Amino acid sequence: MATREAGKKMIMLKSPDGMEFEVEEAVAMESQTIRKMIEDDCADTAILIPNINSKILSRVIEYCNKHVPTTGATGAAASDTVAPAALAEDLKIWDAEFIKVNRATRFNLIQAASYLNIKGLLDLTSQTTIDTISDNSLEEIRSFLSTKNDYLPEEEQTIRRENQWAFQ
Amino acid sequence: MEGETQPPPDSMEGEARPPPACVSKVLDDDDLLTEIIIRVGFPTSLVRAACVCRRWLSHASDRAFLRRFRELHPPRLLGFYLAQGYPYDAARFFPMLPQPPELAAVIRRTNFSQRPFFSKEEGGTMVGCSNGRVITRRLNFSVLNNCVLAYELVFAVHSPLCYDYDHGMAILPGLQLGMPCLYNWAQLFSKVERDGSSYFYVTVEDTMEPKMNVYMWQAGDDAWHKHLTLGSDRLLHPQSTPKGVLVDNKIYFAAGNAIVILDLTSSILLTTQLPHGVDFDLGTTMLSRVNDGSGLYLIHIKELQLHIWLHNGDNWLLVDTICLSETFAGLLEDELTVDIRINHVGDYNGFVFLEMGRSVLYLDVNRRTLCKAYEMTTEEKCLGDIYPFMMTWPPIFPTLSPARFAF
Repeated sequence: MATREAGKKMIMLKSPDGMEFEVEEAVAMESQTIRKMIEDDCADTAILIPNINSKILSRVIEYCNKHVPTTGATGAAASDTVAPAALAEDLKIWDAEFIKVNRATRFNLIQAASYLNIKGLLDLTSQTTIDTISDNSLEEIRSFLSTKNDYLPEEEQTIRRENQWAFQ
Repeated sequence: MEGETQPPPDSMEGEARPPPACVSKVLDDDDLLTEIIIRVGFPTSLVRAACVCRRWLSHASDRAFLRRFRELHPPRLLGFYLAQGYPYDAARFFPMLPQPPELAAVIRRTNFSQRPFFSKEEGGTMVGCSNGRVITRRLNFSVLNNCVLAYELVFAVHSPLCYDYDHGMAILPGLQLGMPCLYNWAQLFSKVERDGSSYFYVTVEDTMEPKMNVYMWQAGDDAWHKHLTLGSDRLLHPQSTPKGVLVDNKIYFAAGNAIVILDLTSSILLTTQLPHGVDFDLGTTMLSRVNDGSGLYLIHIKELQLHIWLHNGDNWLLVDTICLSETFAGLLEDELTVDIRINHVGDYNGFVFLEMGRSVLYLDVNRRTLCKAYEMTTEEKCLGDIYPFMMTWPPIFPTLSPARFAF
């Protein structure tokens, strides 16, 4: 994890409900959307993050803080892929704890990850959602998603017949 | 950042309808919904996701989506069929373990040796396996006064994963061939396309004036018909190993010390020379389709060096080399004197099955791992052919009538 040293460039993120978060530029740049704003010099003082309330934004920053690549002595940033196995394992455990949130928070995080373009967070939140879906029966999934089954019975039967291997 | 108090992870129970705005905001967004569905990881879960509702089906069945899904989650090797002679009546299936629980039910379907047309008792011999389909062949003779007048080849195409609903087997019309049997090389080739399959049965008479016959059957035809007959010196000395392959409407097979290419579209025969240092000694060479059907691989093993060549128009491009004795020094230590052969019939998907003494070895070329996949028992005389069996892809999604969206 990056250590906060004097002289590191900080950046201000503002949520629509008026909260301000001061974060290291490197942490904020985990978001490709913010990275682009910074690179295009659109981020002089503070960046307003629309549609993401302070509660969700604080979780997103928490995620980025944990996932920002550690800067080595040479100054070269090490990406997750070359991180030592132990560090990767530590991140996995941390992610698993991080995503233990209720459904509303998780869906808000998906939206935030998508808007801010944070691939790792989008992976984590989407994967967790689809895992919940995969583990349950169709009826449970539909009820969970409040989605109406709009198939005609014979249509659903056709999908099941053609791909019977997908069912027990 | 301060941690907030975290509610327990959600459960299916007690979720009230309708969905909160945060859920519908995500699920109503086509891009986000796609991002979520693409992560299901297994074709089994993808089919179940498609069953949720029409909108989910429309995403899951989109061609670009399926391409991306395949790149992210390439079809897995489920196991292999071992088509052996004595003492077994039918090809046996061996799963590659471990497999994820999502595929447990799929694996259970693969063992279908009790099915009609499959066992040797019924004259069934396994002759092919590709993308979830297994092809068996049986021979019927017409005999009059103890004299065989003609014979008939009957091919059956099995889909072991789809045996419920009587959906698992298609029997092709018999292919009648007269006696005496003049050819000394023959192979069945199949081409499976979205709008139907075609099969080509190719025979070569290796005489002073070699001649090739191609019989063809297409889905919907009543019978086989002779597609073409060609004579050429290029056809001299056709080899039964390595087996030929059909790629992009061209049949490649070994003859003499070269590869003959039959272009089915133009009915032209061409010859391509082998890469330097490659020969057709028994068990050294394998011809294989690139898994998406876009080209041809030649895989060659000699003195524990495995080379993979890609046929690139007119040239061979060396795409990978593995020195087995260096890479797997630990595993092969005591066996360096043993001959290693390729024993693998089917597409190349980043792995090769090898035969070493009485063992089957599974070589994962991409991951550079080698492990024992089968050991012959004392009763078994020879190993037989290995047909890898991959998870079928893509799922078959129906096209729903758009008018019904108003329903």
